[in-house]
Amino acid sequence: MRQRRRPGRPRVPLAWRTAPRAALSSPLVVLVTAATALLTCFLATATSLHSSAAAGAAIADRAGSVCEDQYGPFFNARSLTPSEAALVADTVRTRAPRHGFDRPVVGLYTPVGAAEFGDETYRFRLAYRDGGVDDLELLRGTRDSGLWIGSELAGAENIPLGTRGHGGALPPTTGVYRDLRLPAPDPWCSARDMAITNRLVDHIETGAIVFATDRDTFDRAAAHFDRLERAVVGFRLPPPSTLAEAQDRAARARALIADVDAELRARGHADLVHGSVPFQRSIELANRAETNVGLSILPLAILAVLVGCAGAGMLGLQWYQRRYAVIRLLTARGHGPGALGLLALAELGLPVALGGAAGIVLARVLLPAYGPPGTIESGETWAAAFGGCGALALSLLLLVSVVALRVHREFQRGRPAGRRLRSRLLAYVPWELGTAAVAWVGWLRLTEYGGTSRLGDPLPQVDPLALTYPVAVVLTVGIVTARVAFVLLRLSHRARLWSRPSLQLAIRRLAGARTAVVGVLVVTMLAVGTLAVGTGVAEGQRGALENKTGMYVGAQSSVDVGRDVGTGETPLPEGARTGTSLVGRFNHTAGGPIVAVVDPATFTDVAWTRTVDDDRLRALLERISAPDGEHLPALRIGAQAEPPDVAGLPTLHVAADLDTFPLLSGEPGYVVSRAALTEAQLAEVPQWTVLSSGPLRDLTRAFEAAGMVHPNAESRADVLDALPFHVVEWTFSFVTLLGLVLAVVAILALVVAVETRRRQNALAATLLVRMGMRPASLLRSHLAELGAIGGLATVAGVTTGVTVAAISVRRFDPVRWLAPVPELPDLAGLVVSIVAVTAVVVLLTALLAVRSARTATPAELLRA
Amino acid sequence: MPESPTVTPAYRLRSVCVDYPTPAGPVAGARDVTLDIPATGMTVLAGPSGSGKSTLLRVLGLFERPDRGTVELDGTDLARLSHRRRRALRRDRISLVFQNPVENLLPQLSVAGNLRAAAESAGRNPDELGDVLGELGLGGTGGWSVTALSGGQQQRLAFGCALARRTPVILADEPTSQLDDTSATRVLDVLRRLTDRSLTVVVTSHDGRLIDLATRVVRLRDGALHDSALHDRAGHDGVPHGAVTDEAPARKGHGTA
Repeated sequence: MRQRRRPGRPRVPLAWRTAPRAALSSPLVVLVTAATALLTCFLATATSLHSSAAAGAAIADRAGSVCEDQYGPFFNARSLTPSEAALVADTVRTRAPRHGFDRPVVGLYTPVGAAEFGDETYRFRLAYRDGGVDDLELLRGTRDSGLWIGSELAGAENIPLGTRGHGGALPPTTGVYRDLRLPAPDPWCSARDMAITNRLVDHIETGAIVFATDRDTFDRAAAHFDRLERAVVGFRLPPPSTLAEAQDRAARARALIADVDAELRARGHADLVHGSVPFQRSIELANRAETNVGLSILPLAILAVLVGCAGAGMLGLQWYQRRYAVIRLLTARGHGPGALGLLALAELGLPVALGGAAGIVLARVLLPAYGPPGTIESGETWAAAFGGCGALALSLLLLVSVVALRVHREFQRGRPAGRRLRSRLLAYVPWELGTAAVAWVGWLRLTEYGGTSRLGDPLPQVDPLALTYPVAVVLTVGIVTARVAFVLLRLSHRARLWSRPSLQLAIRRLAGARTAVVGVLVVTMLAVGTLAVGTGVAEGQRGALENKTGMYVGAQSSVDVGRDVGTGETPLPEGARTGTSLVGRFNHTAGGPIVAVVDPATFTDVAWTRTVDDDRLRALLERISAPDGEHLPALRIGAQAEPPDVAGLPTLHVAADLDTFPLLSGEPGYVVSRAALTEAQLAEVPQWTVLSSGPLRDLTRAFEAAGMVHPNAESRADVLDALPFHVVEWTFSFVTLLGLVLAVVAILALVVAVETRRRQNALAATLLVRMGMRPASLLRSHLAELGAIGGLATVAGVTTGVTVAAISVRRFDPVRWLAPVPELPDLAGLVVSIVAVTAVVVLLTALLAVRSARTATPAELLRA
Repeated sequence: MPESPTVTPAYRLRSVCVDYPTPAGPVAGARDVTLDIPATGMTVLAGPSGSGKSTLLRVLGLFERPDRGTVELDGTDLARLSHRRRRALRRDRISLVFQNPVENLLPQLSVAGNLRAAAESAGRNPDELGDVLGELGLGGTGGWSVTALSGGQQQRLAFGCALARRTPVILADEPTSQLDDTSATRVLDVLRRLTDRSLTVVVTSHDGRLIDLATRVVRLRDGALHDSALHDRAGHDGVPHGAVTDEAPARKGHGTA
């Protein structure tokens, strides 16, 4: 009679309870198991975090393109009475808290009118904004209630403080502020057409801007205006840092707009105000950036995570083989497949769980190092961690399932069947044709990539297949390399190199373990290839963005200046005399191309010359600085016919040719030296620009301080929408990360391959040493064996990766209309690093192999 | 050739065939084996390598399903059983001792731990094992790691685990083949004691001493019963056990480990 278990006794059998301890019998297996889970969960978590960070980075990138008072709802009303403006402001103010918005900022602007100040009548616009005077620089006077007039008006007409305009009807002038100039300071960005005098048109007509210090003052001063030209209501909010925050804010903003509309309609003022969410477009772009990056890296990530999970399955198989005797014993005692699967879990589950948890944590901690520079929300972190946990669960499930399935097949169904046949069939499947087909389709899609960037829709329609093209090529070459290596190793028995025994033995060892060798070879080659291609394309995009913007602006920043400044008649302002260079331009020559006049003394120090040989450019500018008889020597930029006739300049004579030139941004043109022109000729140059190697803000401040006009201010940082470049860069930075993970896998695989052959190596080495082989020869033999794997993988991976990157980096150019085309960056450092790491790993593993052979105990040798 | 059905045998095999697929075509592991194995005494399956001893033992241990023929254990047709019922039979009725001593033990457990685990696996109370180690000549080794035992000690402990499981059937695959003479002799002593306990003991072996110890010898060749395969021999106590007759000892409760 079977005795039943006593109540209260532990239900888990002893073998299962002690299984975690059994795992310690092989620390290397524990380490490899933990590392496999770590890498799998790291990748699963990193994928989600990477695309979330891409959204955050896109939001941050777009925040710079929207005025700072437009990160929330924005109400704009035109041509309305002061009472209607008050109604709009009050309605928004009362409704805003219901939708989570704080106090609104109201801006009111009258039409340009005329009023007498002192003895003169001036055209001016009366302006007010809540807290607006805090964003003005008070030069003279006080912050007392009253009107502030611009320094230009006050200085030119000598209007004293305390003056009451319009025959004393206006409040007193209590302050003089520094006039606002374009480019508009951030606080006045959305009101630039109302609060800043437009000097490009008749500023007499557009009038001076007079600010009221407070709302009462404005109401009193504006009493003689029938209507206001503009009333705006916005909110001072920090830019959203994440996509989710931006979406939430946009949703609340839309609700507020609807609420305000309904309220005003109910009061009979329908269509009085137009509500909008200016950041909505940025949200859409950020959303698309996230989707593009996510979709592009998803296939690779899924592939990598599945490979990681398959690694967990392989660990299960390896555990099954290692614990075969125990499994057979427990099966004989009546334990089923599920129980034995759980035994594997009990033994390896802890390393898997710890490794997986470490992978999830590492993915989050290291995100700033590998991911786009964007903020992510805690919810997104948890979602990513959930994905990592999913991969962890899948790994554990596979571990259990593989063991359970094998137990079922071998001990329940009767006997293992057809494994070798299936393995052979799998080996014969031409996987490389599949990956080559993916690469080919990717290439076709890639040819249509880029060039789709348009104003207002800067993101190209990214095709994930196009973005996976480089990796598909690397994968194809990797599989082909592995297949060729496998065939060569099968045929290697024909090699007779016994005159060099260390080499012959290395070949035999490779041939004897060719399946493992091919596996390590593929993983290493993929690691090196993806590292090279990821780094190449990502760096290429980064460099392309820098060079395109640099060549477009001509330097870090630029502003246009008047002809008097260009000719030197009026000196540059004090703060703009160093780190700047004056460039003149004939934009509409008879022959069409631009003719630029550069200062050879300063140009090469200031201009963006990264794509041009600096020394050569300096020498060329020197060469064209002296007139050539009646001709004016010039550099011809780009392919074009004869030099144009330029009114006011001698006939141009081509002294040298260059492909591109700063400021011409890929346009054909000619460059002449300022030093070769007379003052009269300089005076004929219609347009002058100051290039600066410093930030735009410093340059404009210098001009503002000197009270000099400086239109068309441009900065390299914001002249071009960088998002399309970033999308490609972020995608391939993930490919680089994938390469790094694969590199770790390859190193682990190499160490495991050496360790698992420890006994065979030890036995063979003992025999060889007995036969007279010296330890140095033994080391050479292992170096040849492992070096062959590492060397072949490195050469194939680097060659493929760099070639593919070089081919595809131009195809990824999202702004093809702007020169220069992206170039493959200098990858010498990466290649040297890869070779150095490979050499170190090969050396260490060879030493490990020799050490294990030389320190083997007699017992190990006997068992072998 | 069926034997006289005077007492229900433990195993009843009828025309059992087991084929192994090989690249050269199927190879017969067992060929048309018809055999009754008595419920008590030690049956030795003897024969040269490749004769089908281990195949037959795998069939008896429910590790192998015959391609043809039927196998009954205590009157139950094993082919009709679900996986769960087969596992239950393994758990409750059969103990297996493999050829390699160390493969019969759980390496992470001590000697006593192995006995407890074996008892647990059959649903027995490990606290009621008795002095199994003493019986096996392994007294004082309870706290030892199993790797500290010699091969012979490990094999005796393996039989001790079978005793701890208290199953009515013990199957052993060449239990002395990897032991020296002294160790093998001690294992034979253990087997002799098992034979006295009214258990069904089936052993595959070439070992002449083990064959001498058998109450019954079944000779196999090329997967089939040899012409003169069924030898009823006098047991070590001089009582004829070979014939399955009404006089054969009835199956009793299991002995105390």
